[in-house]
Amino acid sequence: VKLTSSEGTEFIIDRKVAEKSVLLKNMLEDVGESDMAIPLPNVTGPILNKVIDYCTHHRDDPFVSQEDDSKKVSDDIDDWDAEFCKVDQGTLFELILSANYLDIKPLLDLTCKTVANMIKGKTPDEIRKTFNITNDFTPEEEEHVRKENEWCEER
Amino acid sequence: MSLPNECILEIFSKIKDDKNSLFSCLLVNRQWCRNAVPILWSDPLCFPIKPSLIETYLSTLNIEEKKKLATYKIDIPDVAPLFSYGSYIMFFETTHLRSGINSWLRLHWMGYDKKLSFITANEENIKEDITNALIKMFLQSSNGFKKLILNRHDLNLIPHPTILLDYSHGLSQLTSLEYSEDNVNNENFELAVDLLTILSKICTTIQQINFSLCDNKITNSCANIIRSQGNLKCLSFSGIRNDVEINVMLLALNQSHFLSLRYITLNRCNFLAANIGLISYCKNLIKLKIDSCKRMTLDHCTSLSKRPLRLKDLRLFNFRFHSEVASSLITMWGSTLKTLHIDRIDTQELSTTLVNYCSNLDELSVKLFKRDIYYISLFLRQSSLKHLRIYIINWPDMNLMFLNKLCQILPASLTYLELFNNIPAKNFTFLLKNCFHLVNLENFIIHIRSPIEFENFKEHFKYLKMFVEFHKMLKNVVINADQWYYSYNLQIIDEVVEDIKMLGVKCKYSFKK
Repeated sequence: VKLTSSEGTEFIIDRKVAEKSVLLKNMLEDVGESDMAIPLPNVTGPILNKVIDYCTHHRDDPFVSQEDDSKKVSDDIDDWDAEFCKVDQGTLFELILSANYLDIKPLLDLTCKTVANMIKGKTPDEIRKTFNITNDFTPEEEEHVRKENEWCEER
Repeated sequence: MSLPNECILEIFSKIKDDKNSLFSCLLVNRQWCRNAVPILWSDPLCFPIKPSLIETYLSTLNIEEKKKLATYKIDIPDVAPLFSYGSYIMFFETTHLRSGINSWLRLHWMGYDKKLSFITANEENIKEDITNALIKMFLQSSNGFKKLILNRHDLNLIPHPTILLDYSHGLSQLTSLEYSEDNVNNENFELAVDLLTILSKICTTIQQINFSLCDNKITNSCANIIRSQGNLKCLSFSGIRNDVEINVMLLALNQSHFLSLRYITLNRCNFLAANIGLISYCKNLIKLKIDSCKRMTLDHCTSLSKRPLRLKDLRLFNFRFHSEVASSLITMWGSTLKTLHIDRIDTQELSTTLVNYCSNLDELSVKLFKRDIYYISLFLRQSSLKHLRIYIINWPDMNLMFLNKLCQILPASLTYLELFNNIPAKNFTFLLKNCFHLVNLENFIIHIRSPIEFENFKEHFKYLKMFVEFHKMLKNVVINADQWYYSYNLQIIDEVVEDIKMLGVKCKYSFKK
């Protein structure tokens, strides 16, 4: 299967690897056998490379149903996956966007779990610093949110 | 770089049980707040409630309801809340709501003279009115309840069942229902019958039902609910003490249930002449759990054998019938079983049945009495089990010879081993030495008797490190001990545990305090 990244770089991968993506699987089923490259305008070359790495490593994993998956907690990441996610934050966010776009649930889960682990135990200010987020609340609004939700603080 | 809402929601869903972290997310910025609120407010009634939750919920009531409560000196500020918090509720539990309202009222009235006569005279009515107002608000504004947990004791607090018909929208998407009773008195009996009847009319998409009954009079209403569900996947009933009532429940199953049901649990039931053979019609059933049930006989097994099932998971707990019944069930379903939980393997017949019929078994959980070790060994020695849990029962004097025997019968295929109770701490190293053949082990969980001589115990932990170094597949080691003594100095153990973690293996220990 041929894929083209947003810059036009072409990648050739096994159909089995491509089918880890529900989007590509559906496209391939619709189109059938074809030499035409599938354009992926939302995914850059380096990110597509990472995604292919992931799908190749997990090519033989069984399909995980939504039901089983909901039981998983955020700290059960295996060694290879943990190593895979040791990337800068921009890459991690781009991987989330690509996994979401290409509909690769296990990759979306993994990358979201990694971000969730970066959030755990932090104060709002620490989270803002970690992800470079601007606080757009007015002080009154922030106080209002805090008051209405104080039941879950220190649960 | 910012992420779209759907991705932020996905991230928050991974920490949905970590309310403290979600609370932090709420205060990061407006976008994070909008995404955290629906998750935080989906299940606040599933846990003991803080009074401030009730305060926020009350602020979302409409003006008429607020005016009504003001007559009880319950003044709710007229400031509009930032979100329609009631609309996010998906899981509803009566007991926590009741106790939350009680504690909020105690706080609220603290500033008033407690002897105000109208409070004393109307306290119960006031509580009922608040609960009614809140539940009506939930039903009106909810985007859809997913799970309802009801206890008969609390039913007088919720709006009368006939009123629920007016708010059917909030309940029509229910996917899980739990109804329980704590005793056989007549409290709220009629309300329960009415409520279950109304629910059977409103709710038709329930996938999980759990009835825990004390009173057989209510089984007809429960059966009506079962009957009206088209895609029931999981059915559990408990406490049905006569066969006629069990039949009422089972006869509610129809053709669509025979296709949709995947899990069935029967708990504390008395089978007698119950027609449990109907279970065998559920051809997609993969898990059957029979827990603390009485009077199951070979006749029941014969009726279950009429249609073939491809069960993957069979759990027979507190099995109060002969092992030949267990043998018969395992003969029937053993070839497809991946998981078996069973009280005991205590006869030659049972262990031979396991050997002959359970060649695909991956997981076994079993109790071990001293005299059972021979029968268990017959199966274990030739099995290729991956997961094994052994609960050692009534064996305080387990000596090295028996411990050695136990270790020798553990199959080398194991990736998960959990040993409960009664391993004397002084024999810990001995146990490890005899488990060296378990080269595939990934998870090792052991519950030991706490050492009295703690000094020697530290040496065992040092040996544990060697064990971990040798077993390259190990990922997780947990050691739990049954008691805590003040003489313990855990520093050396902590150092060893840190060393083990450095090897890339998760390691935890705990002493029950």
